[in-house]
Amino acid sequence: MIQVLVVEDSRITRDAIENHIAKSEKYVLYASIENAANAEIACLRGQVNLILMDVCTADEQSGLRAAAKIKQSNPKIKIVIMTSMPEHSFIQKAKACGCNGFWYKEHGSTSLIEVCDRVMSGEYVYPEDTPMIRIGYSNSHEFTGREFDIIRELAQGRKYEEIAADLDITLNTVKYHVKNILQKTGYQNTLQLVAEVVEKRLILPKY
Amino acid sequence: MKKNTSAKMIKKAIDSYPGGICFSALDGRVILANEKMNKLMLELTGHTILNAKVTWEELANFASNGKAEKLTQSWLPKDPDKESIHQQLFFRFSDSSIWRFELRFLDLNTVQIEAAEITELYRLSEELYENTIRLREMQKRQKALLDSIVEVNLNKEILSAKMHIHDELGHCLLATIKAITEDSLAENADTLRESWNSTIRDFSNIPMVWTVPDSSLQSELMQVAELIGCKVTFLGKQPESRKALQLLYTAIREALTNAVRHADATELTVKIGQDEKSYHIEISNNGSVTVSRITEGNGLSALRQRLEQEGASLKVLCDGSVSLLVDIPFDFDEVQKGGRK
Repeated sequence: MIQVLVVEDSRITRDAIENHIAKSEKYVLYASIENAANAEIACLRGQVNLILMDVCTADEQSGLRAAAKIKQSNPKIKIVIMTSMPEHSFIQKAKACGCNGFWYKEHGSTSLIEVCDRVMSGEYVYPEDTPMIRIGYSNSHEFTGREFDIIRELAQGRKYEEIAADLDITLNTVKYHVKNILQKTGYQNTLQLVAEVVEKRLILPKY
Repeated sequence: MKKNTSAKMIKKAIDSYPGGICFSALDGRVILANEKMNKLMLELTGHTILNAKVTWEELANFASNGKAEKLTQSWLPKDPDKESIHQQLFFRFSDSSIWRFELRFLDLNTVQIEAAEITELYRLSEELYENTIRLREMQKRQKALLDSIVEVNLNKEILSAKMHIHDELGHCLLATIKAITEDSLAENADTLRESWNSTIRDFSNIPMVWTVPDSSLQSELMQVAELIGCKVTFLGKQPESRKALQLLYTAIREALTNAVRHADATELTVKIGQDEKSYHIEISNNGSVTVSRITEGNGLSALRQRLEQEGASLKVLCDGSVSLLVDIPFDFDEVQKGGRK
């Protein structure tokens, strides 16, 4: 049997996942916890085969950071990242951590168990793209990677000078990107843009 | 200046200036004033400019007279960089035009009073002020949103789950009504029973959804520690502030991980003491490995960095077994002020 550790802070989602595991003949629940920071400890005795890891967990602990640590010390443990957030960088971060799969709770047609089965058979299972979110007159797929970098920096309250230093670009380049983003979205200022982007959870600076 | 420039020509030239202007001696005797200045003063004071010093005092103590009102808003477009400016006064006239009066000392003996129409500048300053207020409000809302995004997400997931239950219930009811009306209840009994059982199971979870999630740092850590065969014992009173607790548990997690991974420990003891300034925490274990010194790996280095960033400190004690000594000041919120994260 495949031992599964569930890391999920929403009680009802956790219960639903536990129900799926209970019905399955291949999987058995090893433990179910709310806080990603405790996941590495739960894996210390080497009994966990698969982790279903939420990104935003209890006490604002990041599932992605926990996954990266676990993969460093236990690369054999398979990890599936789960989220309901359309944050554009989560897929990229999950891949960078070496996670084996990624599952959107509220989007897409693949079931969690199907993702788990494919991951356990050695596949890397990722959605093709993040869900598309409307931001002003534009949609999230129309932003370039650099524009996302700029929006993320703005959402963290950085000034233009700080953004230029962080991204190693000139102040004029920052202004150029900001102007383009505002033109695309139709917002009058960056505060409106950031409020919308954070409210729609396209950018979550804490994770 | 050409030789044939007369006083009359100078007066004519100064009268053609669109603003008001008046030059006077230090005691207020008027040397030269243009028509516009006299016209403005007539509106404001009821007389032309006779003595500049007296007139300025009248303007400074001006009370609305039906023809004009004095403006005192904090955001008026003042010009603080000009050192020679002695004072600035702002007036709105009955035709809605806004005028700025500036008094400046040109040299030791000469004073200039200048009046300039700033209606458009005033409008823009007012707009800028309103926009600044609006942006401040948006900034506040954005901060609140960032702070509560996790809670917002949790509520969204709960709502989504409730909608799921609602859908399931509706599905069960429809299927049951269909089976009854088509008289096929017996042949679909097993399917219907399974659907109803599943829906009832979902219902039984609802009361738990409404309780506050158990986010207690201690209980989950102790459960997980027990799961891997290590008992965590706490001695002393734990910090009350959330931030201090988070630092404490970050240190305990690191100590627990190292104790089990490297020393095969089965017990971890957390002693918490305090003096008037800070908490003193000692985290020790009953691990089987005896060491005289250790090399800090990624985990301990990251922990040290995190603690020091927050104003706390970490010492690693190698006295046979490895213990962590952590000091967390009570007022560590103050230490962080002003720092960019």
